[in-house]
Amino acid sequence: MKVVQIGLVGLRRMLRDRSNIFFVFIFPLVIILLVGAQFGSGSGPSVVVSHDGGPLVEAIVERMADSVVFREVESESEVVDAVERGAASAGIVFPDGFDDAISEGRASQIGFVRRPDEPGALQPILEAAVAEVTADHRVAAIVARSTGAEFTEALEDVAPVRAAGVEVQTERVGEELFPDAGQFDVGAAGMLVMFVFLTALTGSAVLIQNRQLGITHRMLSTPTPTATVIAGEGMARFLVGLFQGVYIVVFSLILFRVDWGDPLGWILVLVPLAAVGAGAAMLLGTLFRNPEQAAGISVISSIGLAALGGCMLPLELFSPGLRTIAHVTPHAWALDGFADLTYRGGSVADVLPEVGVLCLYAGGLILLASWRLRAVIRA
Amino acid sequence: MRAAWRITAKDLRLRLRDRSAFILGVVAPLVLAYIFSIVFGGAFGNDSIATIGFVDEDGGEVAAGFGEAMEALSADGIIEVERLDDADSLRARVADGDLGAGIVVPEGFSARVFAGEPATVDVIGSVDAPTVTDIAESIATAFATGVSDTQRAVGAVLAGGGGGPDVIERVTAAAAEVEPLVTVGPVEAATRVLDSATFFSVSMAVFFLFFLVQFGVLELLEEEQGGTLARLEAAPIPRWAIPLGKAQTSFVLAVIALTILAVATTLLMGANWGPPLALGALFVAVALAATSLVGVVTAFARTVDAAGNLVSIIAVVMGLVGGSFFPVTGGNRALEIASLATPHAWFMRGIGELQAGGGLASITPSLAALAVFAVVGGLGAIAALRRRFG
Repeated sequence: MKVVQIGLVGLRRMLRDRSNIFFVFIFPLVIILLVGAQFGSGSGPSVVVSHDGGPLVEAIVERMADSVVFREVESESEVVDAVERGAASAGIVFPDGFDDAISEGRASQIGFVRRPDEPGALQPILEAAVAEVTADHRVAAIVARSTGAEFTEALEDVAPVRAAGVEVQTERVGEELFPDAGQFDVGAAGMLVMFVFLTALTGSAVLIQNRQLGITHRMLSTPTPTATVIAGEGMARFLVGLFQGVYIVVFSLILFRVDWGDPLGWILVLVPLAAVGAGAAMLLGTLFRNPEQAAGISVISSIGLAALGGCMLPLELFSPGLRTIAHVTPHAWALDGFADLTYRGGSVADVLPEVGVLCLYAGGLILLASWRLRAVIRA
Repeated sequence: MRAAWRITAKDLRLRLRDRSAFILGVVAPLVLAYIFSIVFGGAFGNDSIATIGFVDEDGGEVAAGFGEAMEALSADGIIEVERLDDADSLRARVADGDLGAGIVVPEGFSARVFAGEPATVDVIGSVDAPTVTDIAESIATAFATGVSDTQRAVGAVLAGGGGGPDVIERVTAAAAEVEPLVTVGPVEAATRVLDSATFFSVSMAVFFLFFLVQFGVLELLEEEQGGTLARLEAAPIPRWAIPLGKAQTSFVLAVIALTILAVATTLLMGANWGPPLALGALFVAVALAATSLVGVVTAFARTVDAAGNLVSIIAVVMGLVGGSFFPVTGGNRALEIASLATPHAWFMRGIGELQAGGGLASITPSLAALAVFAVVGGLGAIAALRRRFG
């Protein structure tokens, strides 16, 4: 019972700290929103374009709109500037009077802007749109060349002529990496794992403060065994991490309709994940004597492990070698668990292997930390 | 001035003895930049050329022409082409995620085209590579349109009574000779986008800068709370020397950390920060901006803890919006504009100009924007300190 009481005191202290209003309650949700807005929409590469109007130009732009996202600007220099700064993947500059020139059979060149470090693979998309939209003009040019007729006359003559033609048929194969994932789903799971670990780990500083302020020794002066005090400190970190996790699940569900799958499933993953965070926090709390240093190291290692573990870029997009390295972190296992429950379409039984690995991490860290903590407290 | 520098020297000595400043200012950005560039390096930008498979099951003249057109795109560095034996092996490679997309010219294609019968070209694309599939589809469409243009020209010549036994040969020859009406030509552009190693080195350096500069200006509140400020004030030194000394500490720490990081990331990760002189100007400007902004927050905060928390929040939000974690240009236009309200974005923009080979003139907008942050923050801090300490 005392273990839970000590733990609840830790949770209450975390909730009373005003800076946590931002970092625990607001920040995780803002990040989920931003990441979803930036990456979740997936509407294709962005292209800036400048032109002076006309039906042909507009038809070309319209044809490409399925593949890319357009932004129109006024001048060539603005197109170049946007591409150079990375505001767009590529740029297209239609020369002034493009429509008139083509309609009269005069050659015209469209400028394609790309950075030297980009391959410019969007150029074929532009070329296909041009070919389709100016097909009549090209046919007329061929006819004029063959028969010596005037281009403008030929243009009128060829319009109704049809040919057997070549049809392009597209077949899509393979399995989608994120079949049913909503805009915020993949990002939300990553941020949940990162923040559960981060919030639990920053508690390592509290552990050091408790020793500095003599709270730990006062607890030991009461009829409370050392083991209970250590377990209580661990329980506090665990409850803080668990609280953070449940908070993110519930509010991302309400605000962004994030799909977390079976509640039993995510609870099964979240509990050992919070325990891993608690174990790591206890261990870190024994390695430093200065709470500021512990807090700094907590933040660095939480962000670093989160990046390496696939919280920021989905593991599916890692190279195979890097994915193996990623699974050294508990983060990657927790993320696999959440993926099983959601877009991989698994059931609660599918997460049991990941839960097992997380329990091993938690057990190992907690044992190691308890042994270290006992030595530090008694010193 | 002497007094202010004395205070700075004492604070710097303190900071160098305590490892916290070193951890936050140097270790954290270095470690995270390294991890980020490993994890995100591969997914950063689109710097890998899309490879498109090509299968010629036809073996005829028209398909051969298509193959040559694909090779020409490859020679221009627009795509890479990989020839495969049959449609099944292409489909398997695409399904495995080895290839984004491929094009198949089916058997009998050339014969059908010459006979004036409808023909097809097949594109096989991965569900997870929509853009590469679009590119393959576009290459096929451009080719298909070219074939049907010639067929239509033949039809038009025949309809106009310009027939004759050699009409197909004549028109085909004309199609090959005629100058294309529309060409697509390259427009000169530089790159002011940072490569991944440089991006993360620069972005982490500026992100942690705002945590590092706390070690100077926040000391003012610590001295106030600890009672040593009153003792300093009793000393025969001008009162402004005390906050100035603290601000100088922040500034010096910032410039030292940035310099260490620039050298370390250049050597360890191959980051490209640009020419030293112009870079030095950017360092001074961003160090002043960070010191002033953290200074104004400190001047308003009641306690050390409150100031620290507020600075952390502002630093994290500005880092996020300013593009310290992912590039904010491209995609979301609102975020791109919002980023200009942060020193982070201006600093990284400046480094981008230097990477593109620009000199001092090219970074003038960045220097000016950072100077605005420094002046506004500095004046705010002075006003707040006057009210606070009289």
